[in-house]
Amino acid sequence: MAFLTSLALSPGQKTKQQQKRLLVYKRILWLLAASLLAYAVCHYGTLLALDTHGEDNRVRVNVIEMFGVALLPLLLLVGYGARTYKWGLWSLVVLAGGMTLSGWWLA
Amino acid sequence: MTGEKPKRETFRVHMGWLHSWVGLLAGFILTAIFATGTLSVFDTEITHWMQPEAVLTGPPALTAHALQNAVETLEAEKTKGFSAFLNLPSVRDPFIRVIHYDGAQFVGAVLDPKTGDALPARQTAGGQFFFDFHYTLRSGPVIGSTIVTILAVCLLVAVGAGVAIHIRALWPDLVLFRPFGPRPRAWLDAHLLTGLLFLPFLIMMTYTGAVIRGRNILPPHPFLAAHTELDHPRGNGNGRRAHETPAQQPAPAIPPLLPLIEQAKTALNLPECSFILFSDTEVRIFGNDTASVFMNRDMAVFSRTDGHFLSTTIHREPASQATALMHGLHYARFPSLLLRWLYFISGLACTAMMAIGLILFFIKRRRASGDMLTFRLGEGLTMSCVTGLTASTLAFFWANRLLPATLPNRIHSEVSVFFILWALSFVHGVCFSLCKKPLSGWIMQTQAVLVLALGLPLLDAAGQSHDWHHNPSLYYSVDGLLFLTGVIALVALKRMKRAELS
Repeated sequence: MAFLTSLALSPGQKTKQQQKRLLVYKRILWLLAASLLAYAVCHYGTLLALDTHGEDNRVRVNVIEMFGVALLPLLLLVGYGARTYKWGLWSLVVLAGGMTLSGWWLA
Repeated sequence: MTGEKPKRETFRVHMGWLHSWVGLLAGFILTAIFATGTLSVFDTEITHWMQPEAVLTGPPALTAHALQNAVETLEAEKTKGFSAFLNLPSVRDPFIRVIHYDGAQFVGAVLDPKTGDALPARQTAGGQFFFDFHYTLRSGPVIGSTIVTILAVCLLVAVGAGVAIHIRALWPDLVLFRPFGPRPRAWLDAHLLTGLLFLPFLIMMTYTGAVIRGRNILPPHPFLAAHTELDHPRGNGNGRRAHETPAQQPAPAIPPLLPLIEQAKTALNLPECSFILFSDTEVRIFGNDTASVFMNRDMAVFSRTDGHFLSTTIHREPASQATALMHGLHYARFPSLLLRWLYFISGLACTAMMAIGLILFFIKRRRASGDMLTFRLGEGLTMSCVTGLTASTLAFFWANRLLPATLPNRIHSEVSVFFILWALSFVHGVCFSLCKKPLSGWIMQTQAVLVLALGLPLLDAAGQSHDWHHNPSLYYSVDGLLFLTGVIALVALKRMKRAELS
């Protein structure tokens, strides 16, 4: 159906439709990247907050997960929403990278 | 190039897109999750309505004899291969229930707390069905609850994006409702009003729900398993835990439970105990969840061999209390009746907000994308999520009254009625939407809701399935809610018919 409709469109309309589609693809990609990075930040944050040699991880992990679950949508919103100013994903990359590095450092 | 200026990619535009699409894709299932979660607030009461034969003649005083009978029933369940446990009588549910998990929900016999005799209650999925669907989508505790948790995070994202869109106009949105305005405006007002008024409840329930099963979506923690083992060194060196006995050795007989319950009450410093679990070596008696907003699951452990007291597990550390608070707020076992009704009304409002959001999505895009196949499918799906779900829920209640009480595999039949009707409503909605007659589809489904809602009290009265003097508030409340549903369906029907004519 969409194919038939596109055949009937004028070249100008086609370009507009293509632009719109491209815009949507970009948004989806940005959202995917934001989701992955937000998830990575939560994961590394959790690992960082756990005490590798501690005895109280069983209790501690519940609280950390509470923060993780709260952070996940917030970070996703920051990562995706701040794309207007182009710093959303960068901030997530910096956070995830920083946490990974400090995890290695502490280990 | 067309020469038209492309829409500026502003923050609000981004958030609007995110809110619309995440809200739509997650909203189809979230509407059902919230609707069934709302009904789960009164799951025990729904089960009572669905088991009208379970009537107590005297006060629910627990006796040793009744507990002994319950243990015998429990042992009989074990021979059938079910790992059952005892639910003790409480103010809300004054029966002893010997229940097991059947792979989808908790089911089992209902016993009189005084005599221990099995009450001739019909087998029913009851309110447990809604509770189970709410958190597992009938797909098991791993896959289902993982999906539900992911959807909860999606809902938090959609809510965050929605707040970001409307942050500048929060106050006007809160006080402005134009039900007789043009269609998209009226729907948008209703969506914003319900969304804003119940925003704290929505966030609280969604967040606590996501936290409860948060471990399902977060990556596994490598240190956790090792420390769990370290904290509980129960292994006896042959790879079997201390509380597990070899399969060929039968477990010792369960000691008299009434003294143990009294002892547990004293040890846990609680007025009531809620349920008892049995392992091959231990009897674990859990404190009542209704005592406080912190759902701690404190327990007293006794030896199964001779009933001597072994230990208590009382969680009072701040970290455990934080988790217990999350559980308590979400499960809502602590509140008084009034507060439970508030939970119920807030849940209904949030469900309505999501349903309105779905409807609004398609109203706004009908002109631009109304001919697309995906639009038609989505509209049909919306129909089944709003009117179809309501109709199938009502049909589930009808099935409880119409199916013979002695029907074998009755629970399965009740649940099948729900799902078959829901699937039919989807097919019906999609068909009407594909034929470009969505309004006719909405009208027909709303008519079905009207008939089912107003007919159920009549069926209930005609069937004389229960004594109206016993627990009258339960039956009057259900009938009142059904009447209200019928009235809402009638008003909606009138407005849709007017729209169809114009």
